[in-house]
Amino acid sequence: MAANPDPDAALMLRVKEGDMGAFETLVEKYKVPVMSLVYRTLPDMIEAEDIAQHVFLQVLKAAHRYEVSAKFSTWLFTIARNLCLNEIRRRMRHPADSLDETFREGDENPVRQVEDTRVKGPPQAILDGELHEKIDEALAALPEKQRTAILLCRGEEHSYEDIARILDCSVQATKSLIHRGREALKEKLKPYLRSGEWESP
Amino acid sequence: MDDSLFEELIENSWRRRLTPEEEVQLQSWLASHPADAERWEAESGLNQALERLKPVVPSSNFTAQVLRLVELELLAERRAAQTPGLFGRLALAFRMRGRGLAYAALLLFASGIGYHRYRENTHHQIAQGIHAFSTVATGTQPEVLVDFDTVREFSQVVVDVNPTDEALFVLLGQ
Repeated sequence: MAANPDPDAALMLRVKEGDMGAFETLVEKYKVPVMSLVYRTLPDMIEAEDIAQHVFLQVLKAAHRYEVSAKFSTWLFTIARNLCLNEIRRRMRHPADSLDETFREGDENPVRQVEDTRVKGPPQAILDGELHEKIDEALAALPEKQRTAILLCRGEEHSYEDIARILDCSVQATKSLIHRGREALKEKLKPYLRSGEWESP
Repeated sequence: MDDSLFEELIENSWRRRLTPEEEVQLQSWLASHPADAERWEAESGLNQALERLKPVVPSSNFTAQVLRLVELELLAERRAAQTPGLFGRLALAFRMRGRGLAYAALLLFASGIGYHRYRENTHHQIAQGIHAFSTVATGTQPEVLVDFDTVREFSQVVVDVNPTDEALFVLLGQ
């Protein structure tokens, strides 16, 4: 590649040379987008954070194989998605104890204490709590490929070609996934979309 | 303006806000195709809803945790590289205090091999026996055994030597 327009790819090439500073920069830059994708695939803050950390560990472990053939973020989100899918498969094979179960029978100490980030002060909760919950619920109900395609589609970070690479399918199939996912979301969120509750930011 | 342009505008709106130029194109389309207004309203509403999705912020020490994880991984890899295999461990045990343990392990290993050989030998003998039996069983037909008793008695018959023959032998000898 004569000219490399992707600054993250350049950072990744430095990581490949063993530059941990470059690695830290990439972690700082992508921790929120990766965490957002992982959390919306596996809605549990503790496990999502654990998986997101392993995504970056995987990036470092696979650094020696990294080639600038696509954008760095495409490569990163492919790793993130694969780790999420592995976790989903693992859960299907070995169903774990539920996080909803905070107390064991006859035990006063909680099994896990998880901060519910969705709970806010009453005024804010009244304003936007329900709406965000509804869209999160609607997204969670989508098949994994449709949800991932829709989440990656937001913003200009990923082109349809990038999303197609991450999902390992054609551009046409990607657009079809987004279209079907959006149709399902529109159906589920119809009352909110019509009432114009989303209008005010 | 054809249908494909309206679809393109919708697809663009999935990823970003439309540019002023695209907005003009959209308004022009909707003015001439009022039936599409409802579809656009739903698409636009969903875009706004998705825009409001909050980014999920990890804990403040996330990067430090990742670096710690990397450190632990490197440590584990180094340990794995230093850890010898089974025979290496046995040799190490000989050199260090666990000499008795190493002898016990060797004894166990030798016993294992001995037992394995014994079992193999036993299996071989059983196989030979079965083979011999099967050969007899398939080779001897029942018809052969019909005159078995008569044939067996031949060897027990005392043959009387005829005196005439004796004389003949004498003559022949001369």
